[in-house]
Amino acid sequence: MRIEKIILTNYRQFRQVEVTFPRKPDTDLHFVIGTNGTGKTNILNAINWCLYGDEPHLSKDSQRLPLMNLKTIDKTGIGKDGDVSVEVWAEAEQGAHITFKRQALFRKNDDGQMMHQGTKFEVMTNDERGNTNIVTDEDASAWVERFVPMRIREFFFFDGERLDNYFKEATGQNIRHAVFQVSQIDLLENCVERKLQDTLDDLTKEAGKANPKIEEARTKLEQVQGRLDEIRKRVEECERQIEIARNKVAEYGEKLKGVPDIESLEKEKQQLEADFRETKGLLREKKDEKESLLLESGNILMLWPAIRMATQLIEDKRRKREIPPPVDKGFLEGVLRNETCSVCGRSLDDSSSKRVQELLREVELSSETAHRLIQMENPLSQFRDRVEEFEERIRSITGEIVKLDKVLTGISLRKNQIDSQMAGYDEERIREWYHERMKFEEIRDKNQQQLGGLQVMRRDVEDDFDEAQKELDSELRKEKKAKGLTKKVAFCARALGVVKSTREAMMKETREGIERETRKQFSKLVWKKATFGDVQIKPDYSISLIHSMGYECLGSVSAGERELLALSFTLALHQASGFDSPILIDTPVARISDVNRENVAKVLCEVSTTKQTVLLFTPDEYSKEISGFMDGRASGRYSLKLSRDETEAKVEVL
Amino acid sequence: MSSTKINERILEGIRENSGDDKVIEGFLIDLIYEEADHLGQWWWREIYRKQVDKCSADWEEGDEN
Repeated sequence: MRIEKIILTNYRQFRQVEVTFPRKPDTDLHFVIGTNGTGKTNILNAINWCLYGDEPHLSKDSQRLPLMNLKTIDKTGIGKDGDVSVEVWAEAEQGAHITFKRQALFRKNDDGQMMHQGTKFEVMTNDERGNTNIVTDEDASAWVERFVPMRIREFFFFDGERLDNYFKEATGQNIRHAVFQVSQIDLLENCVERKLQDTLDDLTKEAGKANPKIEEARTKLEQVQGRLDEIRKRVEECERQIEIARNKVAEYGEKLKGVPDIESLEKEKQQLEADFRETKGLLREKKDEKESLLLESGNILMLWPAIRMATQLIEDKRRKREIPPPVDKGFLEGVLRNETCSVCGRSLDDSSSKRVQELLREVELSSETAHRLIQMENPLSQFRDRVEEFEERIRSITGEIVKLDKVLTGISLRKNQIDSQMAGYDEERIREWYHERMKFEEIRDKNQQQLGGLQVMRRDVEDDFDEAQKELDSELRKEKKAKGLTKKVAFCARALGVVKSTREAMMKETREGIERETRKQFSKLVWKKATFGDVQIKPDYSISLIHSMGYECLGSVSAGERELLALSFTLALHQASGFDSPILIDTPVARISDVNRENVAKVLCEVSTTKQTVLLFTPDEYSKEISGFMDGRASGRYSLKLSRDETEAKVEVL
Repeated sequence: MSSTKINERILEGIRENSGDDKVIEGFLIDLIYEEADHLGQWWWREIYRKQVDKCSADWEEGDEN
């Protein structure tokens, strides 16, 4: 179906306006351009009001104003009637025409207020033979359901801003809900399947009344079913929590990509400062130790040349065998006193006596020196040991001081690096992002752990359920009295099985179809084609936009890119819905950058070759990227102009 | 004519999964249209039960084979 024209009478800014949407052979693209306040969004509201009786996109200004056009109210006399009406003329398959008309009746009271007298909604249909039929009430609403069902209208008539918010607000469950509504899987799941299950339960209960064994088996089955439902709910909740947490982790991960880990850096910096203080303390200790050692060893160090010389001298004397002396002093003195050689017994002559005296002098001197030198040897050795020990200690302390100096330099360098890494960032916000990410990581992990346990539990209870079902079936078969009931139970169970199989197959097929179509549309729409690797709709209906590097990036893409993905998803939903209804978007590219605008224009043009596409632009939005591409392709172009007193809007064909 | 359009894939799925069991197929398709046309009506138990009574009478277990 498509919209042929809309006629607005006394509806808000529009006193009498007719907008036709003629189709070209190869395209069905239309746009209306109007500045804010000219009633552009009220065209969207008018269609909603006509079809569904509400105005979901009403601005705050319009909310304060009456439904009826202000000029019309002004011109209506006291006690006189007036009406507001919107007609949507639609063209159905095989040349049939449908006119939806909603009309609200008012009467002006003495205070000048337009009092609502009632609303009529009717649908006029003309078939290909020219037969006309008018229906009202439920039958009229049924025609709306065949055109664009109320529950899924937001995917057909919407504000472009909704596209931007779509993935911010939508969780997997919301998307699943949308998909199920659009594809009518919910009709199978929540209506037919659930009610058949209830009917089957009722029948089984009835059979149980005829036989206690059946009742026992039924009660058991009911209990197991209860347990199973509870576990399934918990599994779903866990999966939901995991999905939310996973998205959040990815979102914060994206935000933090390339951003320094402020908290870790701060911790490191604090640690470095503590290390710096500790090292500096150690350095001071070592320097003090060196100083004390130098003071303590000062005397020895000053005497060290003399000690070394004395030691060398003693060593020299020993080498020359002057120490100890070769002749005993007492012996020489005895020879001189006796004037006779104690060895050979000869008397000493003058020259011999002189020689002995010389020897005695020499020996006396050498003996004293030798004695002193021998006495000095031990303390000198001790001094030398102390000097050696000093040298070793001073070398070790100096080495440690050098090492500590290097550590301090390293710490200072790292601190400077950290300072420059952290410079220019909002530390508070980054810290908060890290905390949030950590929090959601914990939630994800905790739920994943729980989910594992629950899945095992679910498998066990599913086995119990199958067993209990078999027991009940067996008891039912045994009961002849309840043969009629047994047949109904079997019939119901069989029907339920068919519904379940159909639903499961449709769920899989629909999800895969939407995933394929979203991927296809997005790859056409998006400008940075090499940036994005894939679009995935997971079994839990969470949407993943995968970067070409392999990571999830939905949380970090620009508003425009997010809008393009939502538009792709919406178009995929259209296909899955099986409804060949028009798409009407108010401000479709307000948040999209210039290059992406051209891509949106291209895709919408392509969409318009198979689906009627009506776009409501502001003049700013209708930039050269859009007009350059769309002008030649549009089937219809309109401009909205407001009268000077701002009470009436006119539509001009461009 | 039913006032509501049903996704053709649902009807196809019901036909495929019913096999040759025309009674089940008809029963379910009727229920689906009933649900789509009168969503949320409170007397559904009565309607379901009546349909089960009616259709199961014409049905033999194993019809699908």
